[in-house]
Amino acid sequence: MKFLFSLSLKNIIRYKKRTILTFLILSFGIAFYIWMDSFIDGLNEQSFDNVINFETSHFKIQSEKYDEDKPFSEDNFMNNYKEVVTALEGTDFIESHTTRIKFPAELDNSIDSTPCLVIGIDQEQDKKVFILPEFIEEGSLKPGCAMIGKKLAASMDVKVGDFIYITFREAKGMFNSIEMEVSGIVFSPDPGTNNSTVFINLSEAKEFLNTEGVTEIAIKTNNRDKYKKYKVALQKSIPDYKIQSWIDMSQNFLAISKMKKKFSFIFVYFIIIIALVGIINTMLMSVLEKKREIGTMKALGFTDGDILKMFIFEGAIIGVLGSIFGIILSIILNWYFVEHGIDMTTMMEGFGTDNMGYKIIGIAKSTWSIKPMINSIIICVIASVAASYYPAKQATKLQPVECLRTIQ
Amino acid sequence: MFLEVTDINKTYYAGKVPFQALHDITLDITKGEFTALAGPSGSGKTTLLNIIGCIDKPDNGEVFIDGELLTEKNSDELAFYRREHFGFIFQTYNLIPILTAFENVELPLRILKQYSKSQSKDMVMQILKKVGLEGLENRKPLELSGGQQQRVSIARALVKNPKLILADEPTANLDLETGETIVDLMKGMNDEDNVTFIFSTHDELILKHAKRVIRLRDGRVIN
Ligand SMILES: Nc1ncnc2c1ncn2[C@@H]1O[C@H](COP(=O)(O)OP(=O)(O)O)[C@@H](O)[C@H]1O
Ligand SMILES: [Mg+2]
Repeated sequence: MKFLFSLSLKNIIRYKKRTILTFLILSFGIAFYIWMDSFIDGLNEQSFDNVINFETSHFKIQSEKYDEDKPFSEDNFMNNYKEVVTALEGTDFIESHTTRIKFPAELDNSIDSTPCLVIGIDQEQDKKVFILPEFIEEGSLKPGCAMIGKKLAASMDVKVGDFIYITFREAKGMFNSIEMEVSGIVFSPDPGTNNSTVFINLSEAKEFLNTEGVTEIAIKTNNRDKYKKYKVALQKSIPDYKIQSWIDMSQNFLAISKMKKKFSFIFVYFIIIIALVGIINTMLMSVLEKKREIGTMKALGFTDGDILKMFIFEGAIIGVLGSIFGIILSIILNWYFVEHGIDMTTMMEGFGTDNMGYKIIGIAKSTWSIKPMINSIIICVIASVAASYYPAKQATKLQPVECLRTIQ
Repeated sequence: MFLEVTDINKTYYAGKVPFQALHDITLDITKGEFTALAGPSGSGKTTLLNIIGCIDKPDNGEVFIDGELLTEKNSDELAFYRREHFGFIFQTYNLIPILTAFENVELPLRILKQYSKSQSKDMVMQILKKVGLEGLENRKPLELSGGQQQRVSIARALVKNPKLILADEPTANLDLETGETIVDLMKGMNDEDNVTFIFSTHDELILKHAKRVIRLRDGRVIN
């Protein structure tokens, strides 16, 4: 065994250029695959962080009859939200909570108008759950004023200090139109917020809508991964409300990100296939070139099994070393993207306003994942062993003299 | 009787056209013989040696060594038999190019797995010395002359003390002088250690060194 293994090793270093080329193709293919996988995971992770920190929090509690499609229905408002908050007081896993009012409106700059979403926030509480303040690019949300998304501001041609009109239906169904000064601009990773959101103070939102209620309570827990358990607990303490976890709220994003990952991988699969064809080619040549040696070895008393093992070792060594080298390469490559990341601003702009669906602005960073590394070792070793098995098996089927007759 | 070959026939097919290379070959070899298979090119020498060495199969007929019927064995059994009892010397040497002279000679011992590392080292060095390659053991085949390569291949065939050495035209790729020293070397081993040799040649000058000559013509024994 050990002896056959050392013969395989010697055979591998025999054709240095070819071996190095095969190794490099294999390693680069693997490095690229691992890096791509880690980077997409990183994008998704960051997107989730942003969505949670900005839009969904860990849990959203709404009135049981809440219906997104009937924004002015009184049923959408929780007038007794203070009771809910009291009921949840003392729940050990809740770290903080805030209340928000969301309602649709028309935004008017006295020339054009466009639909927008108005969010009333309690600034003191809100920053304990969300990280909106970190995304304020200019100004702040002042009393009696509005803070709007950057893209929305650009498309409506308004700046800090300009006035806008928002027109909406209040909770009782009456139309209302309000003039507000823009006191802040938000540049958020969430395309929706950027493109069409207006933030105002919660107390003013209540006034405008003529309501005592809010549309949602956002909750931050001590561990977002325990969302299943926590949801059950929440449902127990406040059974008459609609409770959604961040996972419930991200179903679309999850599905899309999975699909995108698959799509990105078509390219990676292509590279890996090229690498595998390289191994198969190398092994085929290796067997064909050694046909006469195989004959000699058979004459010396090597069994068919010995010969087969020798080539399978050869394939396995190429596979193992190639994948290890590929993993090392990928670690170097990925390290840069984990530490420094890449500035997506310009890149994403090229893809229009939706950031390719990733909820990221600015620097996107990769992450470390073990799964693609293990995958590549398994894929490579199986593939290279399979690639060496077939030609070697063919060679063992021949009579020793048939191998020896080969002219070289 | 040591080696008995009875009624061997072998037909090759070039496409669909049959060509009978051996006709009813029957012969005996006793232990310690130094026998030449002589005959012009195409007379069937290689075919016969391959069948005796069990690296090719006859259409019918039998090969016995020490009463053991070899033509019945399967390919693994034959591999084990060759490993232990046969030594091959080829016209084209057939050394493994990535291995040094030492490693080439060591190869049969490595697969035999009967000797320790140091035992086999001694055996290899001793046989290399005997064939006159002392000091060249670390050279690769391509760094050796034809005559030296054939010496390595003789050492490789002899190192495990096999029952029978089969040498197919061992001198055909060498000039006459080198060829004669190679045959002398084999003969010396036959004299000293009583190793049984069968070698083929179409060269009458080399034949002079044989102790017994079996002549083949058109696939038949003619003497
Ligand atoms: N694989 C083969 N296919 C067809 N004919 C063969 C094959 N090997 C040998 N022969 C033929 O068989 C005859 C004997 O060949 P061989 O044993 O090699 O003779 P020798 O070694 O005496 O030159 C030759 O006529 C040769 O052409
Ligand atoms: Mg011949």
